[in-house]
Amino acid sequence: MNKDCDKKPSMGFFLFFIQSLFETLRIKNNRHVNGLIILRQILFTGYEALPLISFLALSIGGLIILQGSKFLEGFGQGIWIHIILVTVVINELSGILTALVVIARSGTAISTELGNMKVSRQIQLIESFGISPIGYLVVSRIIGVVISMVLLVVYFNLIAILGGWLFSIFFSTLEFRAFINDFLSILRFSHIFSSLIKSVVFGLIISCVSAYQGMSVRQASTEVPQRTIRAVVTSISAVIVADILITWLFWFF
Amino acid sequence: MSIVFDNVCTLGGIRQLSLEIPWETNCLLYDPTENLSRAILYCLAGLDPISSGEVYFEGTPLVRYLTQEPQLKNLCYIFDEGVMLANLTLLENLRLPIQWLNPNVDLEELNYKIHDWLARFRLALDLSKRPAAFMPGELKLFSFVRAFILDSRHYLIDNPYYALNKTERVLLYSVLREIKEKRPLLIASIDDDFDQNFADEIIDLSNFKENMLIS
Repeated sequence: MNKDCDKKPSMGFFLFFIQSLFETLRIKNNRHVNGLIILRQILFTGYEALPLISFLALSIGGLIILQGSKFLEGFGQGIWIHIILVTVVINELSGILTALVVIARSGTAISTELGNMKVSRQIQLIESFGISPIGYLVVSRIIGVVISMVLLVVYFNLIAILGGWLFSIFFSTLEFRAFINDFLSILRFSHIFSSLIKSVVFGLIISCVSAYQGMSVRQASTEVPQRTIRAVVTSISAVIVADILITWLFWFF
Repeated sequence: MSIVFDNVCTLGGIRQLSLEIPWETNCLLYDPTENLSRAILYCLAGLDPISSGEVYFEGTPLVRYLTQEPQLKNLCYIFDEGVMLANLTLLENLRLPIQWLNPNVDLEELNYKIHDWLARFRLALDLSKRPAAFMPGELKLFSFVRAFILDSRHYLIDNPYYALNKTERVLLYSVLREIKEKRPLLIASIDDDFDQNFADEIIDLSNFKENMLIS
């Protein structure tokens, strides 16, 4: 028998990522991308995650200000609390924690949904219409998750800083005007820029990895949870590696 | 018109298949295992990529035939299970391929067609609900509604009686008899009753077992 017959499709992640990225970049002329799916994804990933993000941002911001001011004021170095806020919250925690929330909620949802669509032949249905499943299902989700990530990270920063101060006012005597002035004197454009870059990269990683794992399900519904677990583990690892790389790049340049 | 498989292998499991399917009005693929007949329909619908050999559709290589125009204009594949997108309502499911084919479709005219076809299948469905709310037989008939509104040139039908009760089978049979006068149908079926009464041409695939790799 012909050896060609025994070859199986092995669409590696790299090929999948390149194709998704290519279709995302030519969105203007891409009829496969669906605005309704993008809106639903933003609603689910962004809007519906706001309560959890608010709680996390408020708690983290409050705890940092509370612990930091108590510790640093003991040495008469209360001003350093703003540096800690900028370094810890804006540069690191906002991106990482938001990414973890998005992985837990949306990454798992994307992987499970696409996996189930594969098992129930819904992806073949889309293909039979001549519509690209990557354009229709994956690119729409990538755009939705990236937009949501950026908005959530900005929201996290605002709540962590302002809400954190409000939260800590019960335990501390920080004056708001002085707090904001000191904070703005330390905040640089590069901090905001690195935070935004991270949110875009993290969103891209989470959506691509989750979609790839979902689309990699072959026939059995038992593969769906296995692929979802793999999507979570890979996304967390990739987000942390990307975070280290971006932080290193900004530190280096 | 005919479809010619010339030593075809596909990624889905067809192995070195050489077969000619005469397709003037309607043709039925009889395959007791159902694997090869479905694989042939998948291949023709572009769902199973060809890894070697060539399929000729009206003398034109299949890939060229499928890409020279929007695929749905030429070929419409109807799944055995009446597959619907679970996160869309029935109306959105119906409009998706139609608006993909024609973004400026007249929605008023489309609604008229939808209600006409629903009446022909005696379906009273709330189109604002998602597919999970309906019986498999209703979804299956609805998938025929979606396909016939598209008015493609050729139809590939996988196991038409699957998931249907007796009444629904009678209904579908009468509609398919009308359709076969206007459009060529290629049907994969193992229902003896249907096979004997409906098809003009039956191709028995019982002797082609070696041409299908079951993975």
